[in-house]
Amino acid sequence: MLSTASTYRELANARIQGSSISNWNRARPDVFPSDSEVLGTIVNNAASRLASSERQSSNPAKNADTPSQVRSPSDNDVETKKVVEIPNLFRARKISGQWVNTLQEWEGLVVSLSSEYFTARLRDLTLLNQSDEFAEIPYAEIDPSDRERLVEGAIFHMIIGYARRSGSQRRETFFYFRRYLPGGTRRVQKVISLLRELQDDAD
Amino acid sequence: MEHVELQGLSIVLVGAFNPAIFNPNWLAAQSVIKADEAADATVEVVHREIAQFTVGDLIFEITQDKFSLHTAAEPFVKGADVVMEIFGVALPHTPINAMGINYMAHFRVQSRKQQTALGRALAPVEPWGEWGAKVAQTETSTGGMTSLTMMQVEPGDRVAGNIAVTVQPSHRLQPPGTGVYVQINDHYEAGPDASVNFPELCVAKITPSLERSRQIVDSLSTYARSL
Amino acid sequence: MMPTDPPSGDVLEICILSRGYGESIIIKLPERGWFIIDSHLDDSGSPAALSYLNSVGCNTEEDVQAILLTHWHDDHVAGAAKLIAACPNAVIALSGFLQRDEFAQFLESRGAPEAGSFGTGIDELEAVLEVIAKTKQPRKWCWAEKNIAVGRDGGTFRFEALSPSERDFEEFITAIAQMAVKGTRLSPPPRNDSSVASVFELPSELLLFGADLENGPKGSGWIAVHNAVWQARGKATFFKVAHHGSKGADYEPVWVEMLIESVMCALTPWNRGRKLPKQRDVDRILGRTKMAYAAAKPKAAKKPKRLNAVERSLREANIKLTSEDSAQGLVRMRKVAGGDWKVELFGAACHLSDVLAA
Repeated sequence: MLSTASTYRELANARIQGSSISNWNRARPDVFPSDSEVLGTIVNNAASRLASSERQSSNPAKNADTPSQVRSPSDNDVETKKVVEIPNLFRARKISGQWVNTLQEWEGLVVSLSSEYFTARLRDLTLLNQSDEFAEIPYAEIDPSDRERLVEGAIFHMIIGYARRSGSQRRETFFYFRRYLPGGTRRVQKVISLLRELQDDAD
Repeated sequence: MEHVELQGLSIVLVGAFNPAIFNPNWLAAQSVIKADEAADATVEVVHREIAQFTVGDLIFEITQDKFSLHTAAEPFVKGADVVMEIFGVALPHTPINAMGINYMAHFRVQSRKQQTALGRALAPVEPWGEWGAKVAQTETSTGGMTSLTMMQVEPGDRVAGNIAVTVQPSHRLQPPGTGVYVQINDHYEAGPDASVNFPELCVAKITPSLERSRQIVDSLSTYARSL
Repeated sequence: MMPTDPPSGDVLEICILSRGYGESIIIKLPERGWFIIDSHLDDSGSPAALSYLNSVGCNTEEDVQAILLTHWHDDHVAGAAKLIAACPNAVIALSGFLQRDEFAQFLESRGAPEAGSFGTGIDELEAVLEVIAKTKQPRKWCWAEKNIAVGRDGGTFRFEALSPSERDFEEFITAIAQMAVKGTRLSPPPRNDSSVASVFELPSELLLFGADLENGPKGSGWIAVHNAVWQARGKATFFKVAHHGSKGADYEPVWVEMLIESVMCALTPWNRGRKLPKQRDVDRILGRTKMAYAAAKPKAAKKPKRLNAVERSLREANIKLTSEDSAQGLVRMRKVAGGDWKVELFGAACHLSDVLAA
């Protein structure tokens, strides 16, 4: 008899196997590409088998406490074999997010801040073998929530492309300021160590 | 990139995870997302074996051995910062032993003829002898390559791993026969003796990985349109 | 662009190379070896100084006697490690600031994160130190009045640092303490207090190289060089104008008391943001000497052609892009003892009166 735990494992494995290359290439324009209707059928069938088998052996009193809706099961469910219906799990999901065709992307380094704009060094991530460019970007283009990240030395991406929302498409310019840069602690320690090693003048 | 009409990114980590703790409210408490984003999130399931929910343009899927983050919306580099915030700051001791930065794109070609020509260029029918000729010659539809994967086995910029690129006819772009689908799997492993800080690696590699992936797509798109 | 004719043995040669962002200076002393001040990359991605020396047939492995890296701004050190590796017998001179504990403490507290394609800000420094550690080349940590190289046969020439001073160091420490927050890419300090100005003393010539040294409070910058360091050396016959000809690096007593009238001078431009030199800088310098040249022009090269939709977006957002590159150029000045300077201009180099021409 399937336990809830093993069913979730089966569902998870089915999900992982289903999350194959072909899922991004399925012909469902309103569906996030990692889902498939076929996969949904498989896992829902498994869930139904579980529900059916567990109803036969479960405690009716405890079942009465379990509403037939999606919820987050607790660890107790495993031991008590409560039925947890998951009717919507893995079903095709429509996302409100935007499909954006990226026409041009730069990686930028903030160099200085003036009164009405900031200057940045830009590296073209779209056109090959281009020299770096130097940009003056008005503050008005930056989302207010990002202003605190706009400091000298900050790294950002400037992206121009088409955003689709609710069926309409428009050209937009995005700015995203990186929250994290890889450490570099080892480089600092190495430089300091080399400076100490070479500290004496050699005549 | 002007002929790309759909694109997406997945960051996948392989390791040991506790799906039960991942939910929008937890992410908000760790400052990975904002409180209002957590309030608007859609939760499919949160269980000790699997968690799945959507926050804005990010779809999270976590099992006990895999963490996945999917998005179809720019900026894709944001995914790396999210990974760092979760596994570099909030859960720094999570065992992770492999990572994939996977980029997917559908680009438009001008005709089915051009789509077929690309397929023939990547996978010629001649080596297939008489059967190949039959594949190529049909009256009502066109046979040929349905999927091709190329792999670079030692990219040289990682302890271990590979880069695999898969090309297929696009089933998403309409009308049928006018699109090509490309998926680039940029795979990093820890290797037998080395320990790798995967959150830091993700932050370091996201931009060059995306740049390389887009150049591969651009190269295929430009070549296809020249046929 | 590179000429191929080396100077003959009795000729003093000074080359100033630039491409709008970046500066390299090469000096050939009569009957002696070559000296290099600073490094930048040319169009081929090689150190420009190395490209020139190879072009004129210099044996860099033996004949380059010293390399001075005046300060750690990107436009003065790009490609320095590769240059040093090609010149294994050269003395390497660096700013003494790098050896101070305060600098190490600053690096440790500030950190140097990897900023994608922009590096850490200390990549070239790390590479230079690695080369020196490997080749065991002699090195000099420069402060004012420190000898970098001296003629071994009776001291017939001296290559000496004129800065920085202790006061310069105090200004530097104050500046770096106010620098941007941890977690961002390490930026260069806003001023050039660590910059090593230098002088070549020859039997019949004094050659002054201003690097990017600027004016500062008493005891620092050009005031310190003029008041305390230069002393009674005499007047220089050549001046590499400091800091791209900017007003902030101009100190009248230098021109009046440290340089001959109608001194030969040259500068490199700065093609970013508030470009240098400005017209008022050009007018000021030409008011002092007509023998003034620029190694390149601050005019940026053409931008790449992008999609119309991209160009429209940039216009709508009022985002201005300019290329980092300008056309590269070389000013070469040669003279024999007692003779006049002969000036040759290559590539984008020009007389200073033409530097801002379209």
